[in-house]
Amino acid sequence: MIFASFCLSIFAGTFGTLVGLGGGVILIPFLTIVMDVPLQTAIAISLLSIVATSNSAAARFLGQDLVRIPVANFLELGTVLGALVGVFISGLLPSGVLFIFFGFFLLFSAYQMFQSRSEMIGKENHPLALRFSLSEADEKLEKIPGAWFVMVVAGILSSVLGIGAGVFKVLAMDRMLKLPLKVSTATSNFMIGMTASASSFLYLLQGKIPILLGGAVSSGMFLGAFFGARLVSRISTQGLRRIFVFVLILIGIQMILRGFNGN
Amino acid sequence: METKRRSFIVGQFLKISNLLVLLVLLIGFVFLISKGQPEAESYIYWGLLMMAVTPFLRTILLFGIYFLERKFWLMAITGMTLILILGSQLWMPFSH
Repeated sequence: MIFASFCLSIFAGTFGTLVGLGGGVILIPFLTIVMDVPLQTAIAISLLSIVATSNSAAARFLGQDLVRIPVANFLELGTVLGALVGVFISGLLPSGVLFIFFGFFLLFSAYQMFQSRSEMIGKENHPLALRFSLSEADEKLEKIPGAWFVMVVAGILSSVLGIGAGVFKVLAMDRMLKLPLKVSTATSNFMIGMTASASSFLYLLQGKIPILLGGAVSSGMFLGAFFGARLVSRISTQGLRRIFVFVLILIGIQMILRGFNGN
Repeated sequence: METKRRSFIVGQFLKISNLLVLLVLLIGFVFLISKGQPEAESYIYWGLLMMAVTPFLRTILLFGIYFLERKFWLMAITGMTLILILGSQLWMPFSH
């Protein structure tokens, strides 16, 4: 079973790196349903494996000049702040309703992305992009406050609903900042490691991660991310967009079902 | 120029860190096959800890780079993130 987890993690790491999500969407159902791992343990292992994916993929993406580091730092702050706010207000918000609402939001986003035939490219820098030195590679970053707000909401959702924020990060960068999709997924890969790092470190210290299983999954994700990062440069933007639309639909439906099933 | 330099430095840091982590994990898995679980787990545990702390160290590195580049807004943004994460870990559980 350890070997099976390792093999599946390679696939999850490859897939997660392609779309900038980290792979938890594949890993958690496998660990809980097939491996019969308790949900909290599965989440802890998934967080650790997200760090593995991020470390491995980011090393490659940085060399390909696909990561926008200042943008990543700026958006990370929003996500972390949102996650902290989410901890305080968790329990005050009806999680079932939130699951359903944001599930439909993701389906709508999938429809919008599917309709876009070409990349949305920013035409003019928002003043904050210049003030904070966020703009790189001659790209124009629009709707900076909007993107940051989306990150805060994503952070709140990740805390309240226990989901990863990767999909919202890619959406915010693609739709609002108008960064190219490959740059958005690569930058998201860079970011997700930071937000998962703190939690996974604590889980390890608290002994909540089975070491052999955690080691096998992390190693698999590491390897998968290595392949995924190489694949990004070979796949067309349109192909990547189709994969991401599929992922949006998958996660959207998953969220809606969780909302109706009482989480 | 700054962009390429930043990406290069952080990229090299990650590559070195990844190699070290993989080496420790590999030793652990070799021990697992040759000597059994107890000794292997110690190596794998330390490898995973090193991996978990890498993004945090990467962010500290970036903080230093921004300081040297005199990008004070980016320093402030990165510094606030580090403080928020550290602070949250010290006094309440952090949920992802």
